[in-house]
Amino acid sequence: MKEFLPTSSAAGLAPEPPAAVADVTEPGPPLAPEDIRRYVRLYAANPLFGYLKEWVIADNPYRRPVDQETVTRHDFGRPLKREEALGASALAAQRMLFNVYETDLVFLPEKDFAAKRGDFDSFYSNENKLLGELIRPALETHLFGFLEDEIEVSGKWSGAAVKSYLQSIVESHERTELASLQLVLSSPDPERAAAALMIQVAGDFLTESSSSARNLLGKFGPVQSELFKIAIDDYGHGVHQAKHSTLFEKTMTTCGLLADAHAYWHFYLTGSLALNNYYHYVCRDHSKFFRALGAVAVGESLFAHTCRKVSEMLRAVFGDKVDTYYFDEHYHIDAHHGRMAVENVVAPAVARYGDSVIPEIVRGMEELQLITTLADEDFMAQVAWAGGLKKHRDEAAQLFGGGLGEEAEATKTAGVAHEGDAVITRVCDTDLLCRVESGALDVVAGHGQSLQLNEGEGLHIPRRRLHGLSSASPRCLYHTYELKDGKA
Amino acid sequence: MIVVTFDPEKFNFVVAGDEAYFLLRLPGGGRVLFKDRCAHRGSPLHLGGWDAGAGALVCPSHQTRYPERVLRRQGAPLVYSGGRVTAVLDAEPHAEVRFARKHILAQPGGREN
Repeated sequence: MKEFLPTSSAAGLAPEPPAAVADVTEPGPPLAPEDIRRYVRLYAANPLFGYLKEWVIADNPYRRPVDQETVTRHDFGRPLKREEALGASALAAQRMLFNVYETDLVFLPEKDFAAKRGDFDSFYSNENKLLGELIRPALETHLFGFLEDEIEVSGKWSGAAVKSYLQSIVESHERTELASLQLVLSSPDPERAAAALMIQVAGDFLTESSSSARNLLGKFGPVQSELFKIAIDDYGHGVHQAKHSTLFEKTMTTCGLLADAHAYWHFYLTGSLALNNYYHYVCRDHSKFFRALGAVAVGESLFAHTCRKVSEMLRAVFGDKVDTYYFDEHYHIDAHHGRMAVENVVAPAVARYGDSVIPEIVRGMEELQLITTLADEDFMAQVAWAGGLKKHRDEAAQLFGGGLGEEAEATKTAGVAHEGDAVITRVCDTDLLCRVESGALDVVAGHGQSLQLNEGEGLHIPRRRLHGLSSASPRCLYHTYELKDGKA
Repeated sequence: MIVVTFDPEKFNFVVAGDEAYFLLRLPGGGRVLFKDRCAHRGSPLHLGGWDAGAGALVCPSHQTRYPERVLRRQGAPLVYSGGRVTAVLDAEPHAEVRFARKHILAQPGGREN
């Protein structure tokens, strides 16, 4: 075997590596908790991520409110547990992490770029990107660290075992009617519920394949070219009208929604952001390349059935006016992509790089499914709550009528809102009871989903349900109470 | 091959076709589903013991040792997620599968799964 050997003279001249050089071969310590706190606050203080007066952010992809008030109240320096993954800290962290990841992507407004030039410059500024990079590892651990505890992969895996395993996942998925779609169809206002679902997936579908495209560059043989084929389909072979995100824009507009990137930022649920961020998380860090292969393989394999069911649901809800071609196209092409991802990507990768990469591939499959389950749970709970606001108002009336206990009274907090104030959506970690003392208050549970509370009226807002408050009168005074286990 | 899913709180023993497997929770964290047949003379490994000092499962018959790293590498392909175990077993697709709960003497620390 040919070996590279230094000449004796060169070897003789080579200095010993200084101690400082030797030290940096070990990873440095993570940021101290106070540094994480400081940098996170600085990042969230960027005016781009500040409060806005509009619920819908039309044609400005750089304005992405984070909710600085929530940021100051939480510790992002520890991993969340699974049961905290849809909580207040998670929502703020997911919003920030999404912003960090998406500074790698190009976003341009449809119109009037000159007026948004300052926002463009700020979003892509070195300061924003540098701060984002400083907090990214902490946010990733905060949000996705629990996956290490939740999922174990062990044993002697082979390519055939992976194939059998994935097949069982696909067969199980294809036997389901998809509970979230059933809930949309049975909700009191199916059009609003279906639109809410389109809003949740828009964060990904309007930039389709942007996260997985992070794994297209470099040099890694035939697997690279196979991944490229999937991306080429997603990008419509360079024909803009055939680009999948263009197809989805038509679905959005025919559902009565804007197709601007992140127009409905306020209404992205924590679980939906988690799903978007997870793809970035494994695709951006190439040490997780094999995990990303597993996630993409399972995602592509399950998507065909999902798309067929979504297309049926949309047509049942909106009739002929909705353009379902995006989902119909995926029903067709993802049957191919699922097969391509398994036979042309996963199997050759295992054959080429060895069975030792399989546990990472399987981990990626499992992690994506777990995050998808979280996102589904979040969406279904939100649809159920938002579809029953009047019922929750009546519940609140009963609770107030029966008198609140001392414990709830002790948590009473006053809030004042004025017409035209900036707005934000957030989630709370405890159930809340809100009551208007004077004026009127709109409680917003989703795009086009709100309930006006008048003087003396209240609403039960369950923990982890996304909501926003805005005054429906020149001035509104209201009180909120925390409920233990949903009881007053 | 056959894919099985079960609740490890309810079951810790699987028979697929002619092969039996037992579930073991390892002291270093994680679970393995291991063939209940010693590679030496086929003795039932779930009746073996755990040598805490060596970190190894010990066969009840001739004290053949299976260190933790071997158990992890040689166990059946397994995923644990959401409180469920899914494993890919080397059996005919339509092989009969039975689940049971047994006292796994080899369980480190005598803990349940």
